[in-house]
Amino acid sequence: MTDAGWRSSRGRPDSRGRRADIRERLIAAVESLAAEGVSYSTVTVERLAATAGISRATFYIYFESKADLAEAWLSETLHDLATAASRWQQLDAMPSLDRLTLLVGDVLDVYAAHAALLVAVQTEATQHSGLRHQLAEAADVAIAAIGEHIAAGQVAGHVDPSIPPRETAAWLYWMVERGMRQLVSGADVARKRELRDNLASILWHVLHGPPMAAAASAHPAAG
Amino acid sequence: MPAVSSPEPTPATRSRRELERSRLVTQHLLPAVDRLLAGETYPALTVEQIVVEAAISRSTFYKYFGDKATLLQALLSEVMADIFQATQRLWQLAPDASPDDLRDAFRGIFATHAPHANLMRAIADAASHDPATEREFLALIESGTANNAEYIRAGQKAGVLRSDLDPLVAAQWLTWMVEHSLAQGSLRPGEFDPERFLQAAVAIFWKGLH
Repeated sequence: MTDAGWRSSRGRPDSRGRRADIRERLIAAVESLAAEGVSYSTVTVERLAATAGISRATFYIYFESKADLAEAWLSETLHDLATAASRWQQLDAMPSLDRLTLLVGDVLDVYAAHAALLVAVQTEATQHSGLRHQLAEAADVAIAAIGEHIAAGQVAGHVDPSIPPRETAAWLYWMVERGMRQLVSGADVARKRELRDNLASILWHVLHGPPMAAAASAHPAAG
Repeated sequence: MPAVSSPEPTPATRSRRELERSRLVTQHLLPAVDRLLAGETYPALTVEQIVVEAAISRSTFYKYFGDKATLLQALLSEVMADIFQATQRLWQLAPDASPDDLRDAFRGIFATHAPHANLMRAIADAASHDPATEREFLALIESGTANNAEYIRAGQKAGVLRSDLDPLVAAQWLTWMVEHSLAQGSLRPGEFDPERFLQAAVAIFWKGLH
């Protein structure tokens, strides 16, 4: 933290640390308001700041707007989701279905923990180019990572060599992204488990099941 | 629905009205809005632009639709009816159908969706803001999901699709996948090779369920 040290040695407050602290308090406020059913698009900066225990003026020292705060929050949450997903992408051997199911469950749990706000931000993004750009960039990074995971598994011999890596990655990513938004928010424990098990089973068989022609001949007419 | 002071139309006039409305959608408004959305977002379009492009009068527009949100719902029903019709081919596949049959079915769905890709994205965006559009959109997705679930159930019964899957839950993931991937794929022209894009969809549907 030499940068911060340099700043404070000039007698300036450690604004980066302070911003992080304010941001955390605001995010907690946003999440507690979202849990009460107060939508991000309609909540005022006044109310947000009050819930976080800071003044409206302080809010504007650190953030230009609500959208600016949403971008900061979103990048943190996308990072958490990417971290959960990377435990799957970094596997260098074929996972058992049970193991994949647990890893998929982790991603769904991270999403579910922030679901109300994520849905709000995804909705907001349809009208806000900064957020839209952030989501699109996260999608690009994720699709590339899944594509590489598929390609590496094909080289290692445990992923079906006949599936096109990048295109399959895109379809799978969009299934998870859209499905989580529509299906995971508001799901109870039993429903979340069902969603997890079915998603994991689809993913596992797409990647690790036999190629289509072989799969077809393995099931001669109505097997 | 706006308040209308005239008395309730009789069934005969209502159906005439509906026929005319449907003709306006298929022959004029749908092609016009598809063309306009190549350069503009739906919220940015004016009624004036729409009626000029569709070659209908302003008063006809207001008589049959009233506003842009209502028009969007009419366009949604029309396009989804076409997409469902194309998807019948997939839903009606026999249990012993081959991956090539599935590919042909998907090719038909893609071809039906492609000319309306911008419109479908505009509808999905509107659905996240406008409760009426959202209800309509979700009802149609739900109906597609029910058909996919039936397809999975029939395949399980015939012993060709995996029995560990819950037909409805698996159908929910796959239906949203198709909706979203077609929309997102159309946003990235040239980024994916069309045949490989199709191949991926077929592989997921086939291998994900078999």
